[in-house]
Amino acid sequence: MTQLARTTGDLDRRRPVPDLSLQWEEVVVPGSDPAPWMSDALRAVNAFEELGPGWDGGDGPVPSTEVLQLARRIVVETAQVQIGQAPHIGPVPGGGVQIEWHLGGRDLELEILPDLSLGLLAIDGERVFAQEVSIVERVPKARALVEWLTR
Amino acid sequence: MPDAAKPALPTFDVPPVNEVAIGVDFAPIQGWNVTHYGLLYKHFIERYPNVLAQPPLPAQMETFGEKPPGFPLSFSFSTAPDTRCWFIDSTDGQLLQVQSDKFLRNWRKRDGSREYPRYKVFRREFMADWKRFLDFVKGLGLPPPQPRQCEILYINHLELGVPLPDMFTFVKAPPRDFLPEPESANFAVSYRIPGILARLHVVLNRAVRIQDGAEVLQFSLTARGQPAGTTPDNLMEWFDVGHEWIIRAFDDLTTTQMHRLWQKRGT
Repeated sequence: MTQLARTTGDLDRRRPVPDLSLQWEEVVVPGSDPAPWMSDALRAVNAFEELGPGWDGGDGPVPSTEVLQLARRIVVETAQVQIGQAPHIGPVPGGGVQIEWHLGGRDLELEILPDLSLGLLAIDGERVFAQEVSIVERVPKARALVEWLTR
Repeated sequence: MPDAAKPALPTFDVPPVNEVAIGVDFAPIQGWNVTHYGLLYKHFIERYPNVLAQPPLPAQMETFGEKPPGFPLSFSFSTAPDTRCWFIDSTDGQLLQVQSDKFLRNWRKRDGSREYPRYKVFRREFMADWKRFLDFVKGLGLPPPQPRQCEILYINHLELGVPLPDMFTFVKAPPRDFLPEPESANFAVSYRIPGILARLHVVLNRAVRIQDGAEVLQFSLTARGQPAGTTPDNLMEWFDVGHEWIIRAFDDLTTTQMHRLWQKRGT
């Protein structure tokens, strides 16, 4: 867990630079070599738009437009990390979306909550780290944690 | 009076344009403060009923001298309020962006919204809003904004899947005995626009649209530079040249195959 704690500590001191442009439509420009799973992961997120009431067998709400938009941002950002393994992506009861990797004895679960905060759970053997991430840090912290998975 | 030597400006019945923006940059208005955004909201509420606060855009000024331009100079210093306000219409397709040193108007494509209203209409609507803004500032007893730079931007979204050499004249088909078709491309080039103080920037990159998750090629053309004066006529003259360069550059840089798809008219 030490390594993970150091990673997140570094992030706490960072301030993401806002993307400032007169462009209105929100787009993300991936780097020149995104992970090959990026397109499939985006399609998985897009498919959640088709979910209807009762999708979970109960009366759970579907992920909102804003939740799906944040999921797309996180997919594109984490696809900039050189990690070959594609994430598992699924809707979760309550209206969130979970993105998770299991790699080499490490597990990382990122849950986008309906209020657009990000819950994270990182497991490295016996060590467990859980945190709810502030809005401003969500996307860079998701990327940093995927980088941690690859170390 | 039309220039007989110039071919008519081409038009496209089904252009791939996703967003258009037009605007002016001016020295920060002396005395402008955060309360004025609330008053401005009331001034524009019938046309733009929705409002959002955004971080301000930095100044991005084109410089024109003997040295090559390199990157456009970008800086930000001001004692004016650190805010940009978005005023959005009820269709979510029209936007006014106002900050202490900028006034911009955007149109973007939306499902169910009307098609691109075309430059002449868009310019007319911009000028009407700009004049309303000038009246508003005058009514506050503040000095009028003095435009120092104009900008016009067209962003096109092209679907992935068509080979790049079939879309763009600047992408040459690779030698068939070694390289395959390029999978993707990033491209940036700029041109000085003769006759006025302006530059045209052309950028192509792969992008993901957050609204719907679509992966697209984003092909943007931006004209930016200094108008000859500060009057509305000066601005319109500058915008007309900037617009013409964008359209002719788009026509030059894309292939006749795509022109057929976009239903080009004119030479």
